[in-house]
Amino acid sequence: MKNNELIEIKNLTYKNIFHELNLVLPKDKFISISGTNMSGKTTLIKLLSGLIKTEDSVFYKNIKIEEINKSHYFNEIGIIIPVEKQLFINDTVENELFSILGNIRIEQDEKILQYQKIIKLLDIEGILSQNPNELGKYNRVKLLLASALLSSPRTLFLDNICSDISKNETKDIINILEKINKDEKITIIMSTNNLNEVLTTDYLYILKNGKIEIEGNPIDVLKQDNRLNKIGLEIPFMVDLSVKLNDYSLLDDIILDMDRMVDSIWK
Amino acid sequence: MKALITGASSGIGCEMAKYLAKQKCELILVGRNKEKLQYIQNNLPTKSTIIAIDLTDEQKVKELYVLTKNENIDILINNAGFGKCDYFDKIDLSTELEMININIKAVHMLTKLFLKDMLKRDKGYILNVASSAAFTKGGPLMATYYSTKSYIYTLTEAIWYELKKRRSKVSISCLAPGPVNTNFNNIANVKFSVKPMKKEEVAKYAIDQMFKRKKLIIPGIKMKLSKFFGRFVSDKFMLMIVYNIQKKKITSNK
Repeated sequence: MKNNELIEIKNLTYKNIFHELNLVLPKDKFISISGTNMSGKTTLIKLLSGLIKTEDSVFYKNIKIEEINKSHYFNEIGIIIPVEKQLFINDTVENELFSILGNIRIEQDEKILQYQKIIKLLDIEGILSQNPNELGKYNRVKLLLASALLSSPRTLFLDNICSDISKNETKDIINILEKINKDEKITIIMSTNNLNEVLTTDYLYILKNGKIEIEGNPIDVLKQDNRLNKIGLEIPFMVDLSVKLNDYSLLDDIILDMDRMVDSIWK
Repeated sequence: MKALITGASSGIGCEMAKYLAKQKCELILVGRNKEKLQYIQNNLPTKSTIIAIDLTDEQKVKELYVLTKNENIDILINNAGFGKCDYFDKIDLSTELEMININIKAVHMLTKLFLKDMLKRDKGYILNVASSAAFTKGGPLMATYYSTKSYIYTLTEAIWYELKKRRSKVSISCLAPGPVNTNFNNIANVKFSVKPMKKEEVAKYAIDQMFKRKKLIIPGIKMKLSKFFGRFVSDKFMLMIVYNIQKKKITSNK
């Protein structure tokens, strides 16, 4: 394993989902994993984050996940799987975050800085007094992100965190994730079934029936509209449009921004 | 059926969760470490909810009840707790107060609050995890821990009798395991002189006996014998034995 590699999967066979899967995930990158329902995304996230056991096939920083002390590993990573049921014990978001901070072993001054930084980063000033059990999906994801970030993880595993969240809110979450990845140097591994979310990530894997069907730079992957359609994935509108315009030689690259698109066609 | 287990993130609590899940029981897992709880949640065959909470905080215990009282919990397992092994004057007071909060106060509060609800529905099981430490007349070198566990033992036995006299269908049991191989040993700074039992066995035995409404559950023949043996020896002799056992633990660790 080279220096810039974080996780390696060797010959992973798991139930009927994966058969001899091989995969290497780089460090410090924002990686997305997509595929239709039942393609194995969630299982992969769980296997990588150590939530379900493998048979000696997943290596984190060159060590088998099974051989890493669980507490140690869970300190190093953050896992967010919003569909799983969790009740919050505290009556407000603020108290919930405080009680997490209380369990982290850093200096008091650092705690305050950390807290303020995360509040600002996630822009959750407005929900601090709300009951965490009564938050909407969007704010709940933000709270889960904040809770995970408080303990300064090196890697974040996110399973379909933007499902059932509006378009603009999704954009907002993805922007935050990009910031976390770039500024804090936290590796992000995110699964999603919405290809709109993967456009700005560093690398994209498309899973089909437990196998990597396509991989690479997201834009390059998304250009292969025929293959994606066959898999049953919906190509984001702007990408689809760009690809079609490319076919008629009206455009030479992929443009994601609507205004820029209008400008370049107008020329 | 629905069960709430405290201290579910490792050890006996975790094994109990697995065993209850096998019997199609819906679970609420309470523990300090959210990630560990998530891990267990993912490895259980049935639906479960996790609650990350520090039970040393009295206010949080109340909130735990408020949060779960409408869930109609059929089984309450008070398993969370910890111990510390050293001379009484050497153990940090704040550690001991935390121990009292979680080993005594939290168990007391949850038992009372949930028992009231169970009595209203006239069904339910409560399992309080004490320890074989509860039977001796004091535990030199683990003074506080032994005392907290005696409290649980005495409290549970009394409630059991009250329930029996009232012919209630709610039952309460006290689990008194001997040494078990769990994470407890790392925290308590302890190596056991009696060969530890497997936590899976203890958990299974405890749950089975709880459903049989046993008052006192002692897994393992050796521990049953030692309780019996304790009746015939003087208190002073018992203290001496415990002291020597614990002493070995500390010195072998240093």
